[in-house]
Amino acid sequence: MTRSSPLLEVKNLHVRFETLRGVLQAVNGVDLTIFPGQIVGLIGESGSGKSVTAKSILNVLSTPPGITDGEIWYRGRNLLELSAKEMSRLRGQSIAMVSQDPMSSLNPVFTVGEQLRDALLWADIVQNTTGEPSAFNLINRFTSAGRRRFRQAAAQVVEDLRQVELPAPHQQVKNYPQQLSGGMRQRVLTAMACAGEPDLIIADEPTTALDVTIQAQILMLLRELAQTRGVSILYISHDLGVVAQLCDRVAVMYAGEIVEEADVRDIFENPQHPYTEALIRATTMASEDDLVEIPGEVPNMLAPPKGCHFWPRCPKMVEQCANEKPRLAPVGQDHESKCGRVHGEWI
Amino acid sequence: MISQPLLSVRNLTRSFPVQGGFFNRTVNHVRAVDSISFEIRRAKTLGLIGESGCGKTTVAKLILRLIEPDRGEVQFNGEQVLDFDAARLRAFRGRIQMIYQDPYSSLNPRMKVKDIIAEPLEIHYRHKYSAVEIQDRVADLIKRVGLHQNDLSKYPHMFSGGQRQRIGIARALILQPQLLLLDEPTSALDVSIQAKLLKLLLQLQRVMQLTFLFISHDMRVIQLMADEVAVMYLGRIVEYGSVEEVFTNPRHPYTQALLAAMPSPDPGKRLDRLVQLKGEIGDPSNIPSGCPFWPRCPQKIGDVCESAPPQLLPVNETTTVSCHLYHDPTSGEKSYLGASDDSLAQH
Repeated sequence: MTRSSPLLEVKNLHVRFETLRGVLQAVNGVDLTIFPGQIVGLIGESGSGKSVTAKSILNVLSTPPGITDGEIWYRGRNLLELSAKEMSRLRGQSIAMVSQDPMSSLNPVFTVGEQLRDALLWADIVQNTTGEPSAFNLINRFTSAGRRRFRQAAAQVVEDLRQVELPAPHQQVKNYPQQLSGGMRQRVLTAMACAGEPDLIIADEPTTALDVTIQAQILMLLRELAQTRGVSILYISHDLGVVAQLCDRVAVMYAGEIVEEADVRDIFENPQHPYTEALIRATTMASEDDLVEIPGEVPNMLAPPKGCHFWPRCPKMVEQCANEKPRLAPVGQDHESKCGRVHGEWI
Repeated sequence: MISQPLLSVRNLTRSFPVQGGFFNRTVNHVRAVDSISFEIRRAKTLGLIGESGCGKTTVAKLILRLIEPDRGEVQFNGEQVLDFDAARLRAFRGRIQMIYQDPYSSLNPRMKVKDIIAEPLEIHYRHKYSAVEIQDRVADLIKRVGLHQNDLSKYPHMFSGGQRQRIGIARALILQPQLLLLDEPTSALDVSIQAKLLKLLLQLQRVMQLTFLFISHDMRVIQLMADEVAVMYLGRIVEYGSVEEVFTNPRHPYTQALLAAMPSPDPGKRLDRLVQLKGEIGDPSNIPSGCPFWPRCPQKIGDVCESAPPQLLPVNETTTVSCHLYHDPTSGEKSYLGASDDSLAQH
């Protein structure tokens, strides 16, 4: 892969939520770089901050509003400094999102054909108007330009659904989301995400709710999207198996921080952080010995441990781990680990 | 020593009416479980694997007679479960306990942990045990499942998913059951928590000589936990054998596809598009005639698959398969053809 300039660069991202019980630091200094056409996997267990990281890229954090700090550079612009209008031009067009639950992401009172058509219409409107795109254009059938736009989008729907390999797209466009299976809904969402021909798709556990044979089909579809259209994908998952199958580069998140980042082969063959190592063994489960204890639970982020966030559960911890904060430092070519022992900061 | 199996199930069948149309007439039947037979030996684990909607959970409920079967028989310790009257059924249910998938909805939020764990004793042996005896048994169990004595007076919401699942296990064990029906006990948990829980289950099985029926859609979990595996598709068992045989030498095309779709945490072994199944999981209310798998089957041999339902017949001493590839459907007798090219050439 040619290392051109990065498509997305997240620098020192912090997200905190002010709750009644105190400040919750959900994301704590995350750096992430995605190159064009690259599939980057963000792995972590529940509560590690991976979805919050993804949502803050699109500035769609749900309530209570997260307070975001840092820089998110996308094509020379810092997304955190964009106005709401500029951001909404970007959303769904340059950066699209596919979420975990395909049922709650689709509207149950419109057919999937209508919903995809509207996504295509909106993409067309945003691309062909300067200034603020008007939602009025979505229903504008009063001018010849509006009717032409409408016909084009409606004609495009079946073709787009065929591209995501939805079976019998002619019939499915007339169906409502609840008439489709989980895998088919996820295909419709993928088609909608592609409507604006985005450069980056953020996929938040899109296959978690699916059966394994259907999951394999969706993974293959995403991989082909990246190959044929040059789309970059930020793939969020808790399943190391899925990430190993799909991604080019992997970042492991723990308690709001990236603890290890490397190319996919490198990280699975040569994990450098004790947490990554334990996760890989727990996923492989080749024998009972692989059921290694990661003792304890994910820390309470209202009161994270001092020093390295992982030390209370780490089998290799030494005294310094509990007191000093490790840096994310190189441990090999394009391979970084946030373990003070591994890159020789201490011991 | 070949002992009598603890649980043996013969030709268990259950279909549910689908109501609709005018006056809610019965318009169709869903064959949820269709002529299922298996045996579980003492202190062993049978893994029941299949995709959503294939009837795995219904099998567990049929065994407990939470749903009454249409046909078939269930033998537990040599006794006919379906002939039990109410009193004997209650005693039988004390010998078999179920552990549920969702650790959030399966514990009463208004009861303290000690009351949750002790409740089965109250139900099954009212007034038989003194408060001190109950307290001792609860205290012993909470230790066995890896929780602390202080946790006994807490409420379920104060625990994480993994800890709640441990409470569910303690509640199931207090009646000293012989058989545990585990319905996807780890699929709602993070991978490191899942590993710990599986380890706990293996330990408990060894110490307490428990027998498991382990229901899961995750091949890796089944491979680790089970001694024997039954693969279900649309209400039928399509392959049944020892875990080594089924995983190293899968015979049914569906088993092969499940294994091929399993995302391996090894980036060197990527999913191969060519061996992936096409199409969606079949609709249980509209099961295809002949072999239920033929519309998706990559190795369909001809019309026989669409017309004649294959029988579940042995291919060697340990494995039975329901596929025309291995049994000549034209000869009435039970054959051991194997999948040699000669036998295929006839079709």
